Amino acid sequence: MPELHLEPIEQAMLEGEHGAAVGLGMRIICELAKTLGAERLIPITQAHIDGCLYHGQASLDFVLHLQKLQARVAVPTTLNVGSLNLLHPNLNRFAESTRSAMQQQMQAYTELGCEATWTCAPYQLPSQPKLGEQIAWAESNAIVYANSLLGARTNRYGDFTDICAAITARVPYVGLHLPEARRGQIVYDLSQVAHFFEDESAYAVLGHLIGQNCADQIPVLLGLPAQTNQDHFKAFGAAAASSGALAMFHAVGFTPEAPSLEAALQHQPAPQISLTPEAMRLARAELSTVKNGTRLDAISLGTPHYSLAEFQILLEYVAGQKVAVEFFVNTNRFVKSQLEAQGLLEPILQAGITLILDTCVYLAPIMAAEAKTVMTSSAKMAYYAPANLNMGVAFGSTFECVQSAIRGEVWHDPSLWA
Amino acid sequence: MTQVSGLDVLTGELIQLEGEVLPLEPLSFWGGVDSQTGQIIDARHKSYGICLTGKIVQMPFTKGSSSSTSVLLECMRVGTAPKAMILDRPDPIVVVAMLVGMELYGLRLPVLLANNAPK
Repeated sequence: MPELHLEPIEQAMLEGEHGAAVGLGMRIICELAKTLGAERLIPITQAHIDGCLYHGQASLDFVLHLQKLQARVAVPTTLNVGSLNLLHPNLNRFAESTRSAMQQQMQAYTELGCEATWTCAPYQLPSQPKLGEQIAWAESNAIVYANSLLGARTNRYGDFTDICAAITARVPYVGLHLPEARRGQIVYDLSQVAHFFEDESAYAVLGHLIGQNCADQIPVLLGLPAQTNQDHFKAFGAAAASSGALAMFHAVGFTPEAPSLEAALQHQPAPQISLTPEAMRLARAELSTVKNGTRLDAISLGTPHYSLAEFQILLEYVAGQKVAVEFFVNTNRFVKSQLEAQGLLEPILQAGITLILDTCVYLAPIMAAEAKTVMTSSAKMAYYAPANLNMGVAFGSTFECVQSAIRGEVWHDPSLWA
Repeated sequence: MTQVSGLDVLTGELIQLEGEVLPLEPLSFWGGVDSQTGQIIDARHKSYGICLTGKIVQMPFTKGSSSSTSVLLECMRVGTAPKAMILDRPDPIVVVAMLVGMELYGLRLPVLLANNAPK
């Protein structure tokens, strides 16, 4: 195994000269670095923490331990969704003891100096990192977006690594932090399926398919329509990081490091797969566990968190009508303030839509206990809902979700995907 | 009972283990495993319903959620974790659960790299 070389200041941090918390963080970062075969660490400019989400006593124990050691983050650090809406912590069916543990865990992370952003879409906040920045992000969909659309550099970090990186401002210099490791390894030609992308849900379907297909390789997407926007890529990345282990993709013409196919591949050869319409239709069908016409109990949009632009489209579809089922949209406080500033919050609420802030419907028992079927435009929600919420799920476009919500049953546009 | 060996992810030493080996396709512990029972709850996973507790779990890498580290650590704390993990690559999602388990609770979860892992 190669040896890990530390700078004098890093050695001092490891030996506890910068406090016990920095010592603990450095111990974990260095041990991780050794297992990854890193020869040195690299400073980071920001961190995004997924560890604020409660997964039982262990997740709370760790942050309380850090707090006891007087840990403070050393770089600007944003927080992922928590388990609760902190402004309305009782709007769920958690037991009181669980709720208070969740609240304690979220609070503890803010006391370490993290910003109370509570969002899984930190790349749509003003604090988004820039091209070439070395960062330590957790949250699978955010990792993909940062690497692929912003050109910032992060590995697939998880809970605990994220906060240890924030406390020490260091990560192992391996993997996607290195330019040569960011090379596209498998090319997906989309020319046979280009027509599907008139329907926005095709991006999530493509993500679901490629996540399953590319193992842990970096895929290159060739032939996406010119009008593909950041919310499309958000849907794609979240889907691929749920069905698979994707940490980065190249979309030729969109990814900063992929102005051309040759650039994405760093001028090396790679296998090429032409995606077929059949594969896309099959992937789309896999995302639903219930049939058309099934009585619908709820809609949930915004996994990852909805952006202002997505709300604007949603309002066009709603067009002054009222929904017939519970209709949730997950978003963050930043987007909510944008909605208020533009006078859009009132029409959303009038349509019967409920905003879920700080958290996400698929994390917390927010929907009615007797709800059996939920519809979503998010492949990530569709992927995890059956296990997390023990519910049937229908996947469709935003338009299909709105139409289904008005009808009270699952509806898909028969003219699409034919 | 089967004998398996792999390289200790921390020391690089060759380690021999004995136990029931459970080969799995990539799995997300979060949304995929119930930490209270150790069972696979992802209905889309090929090994849905199987319990990981006490088994030597072998998979190439984890997929899905970055919250999987917390779920695996909670499995360790509750006592529903695998006996050991064998991976193709040193996946930080698993390695850090092992490291924090030692720091916080003094618990051990051997993490090995498969001898025959594809490069």
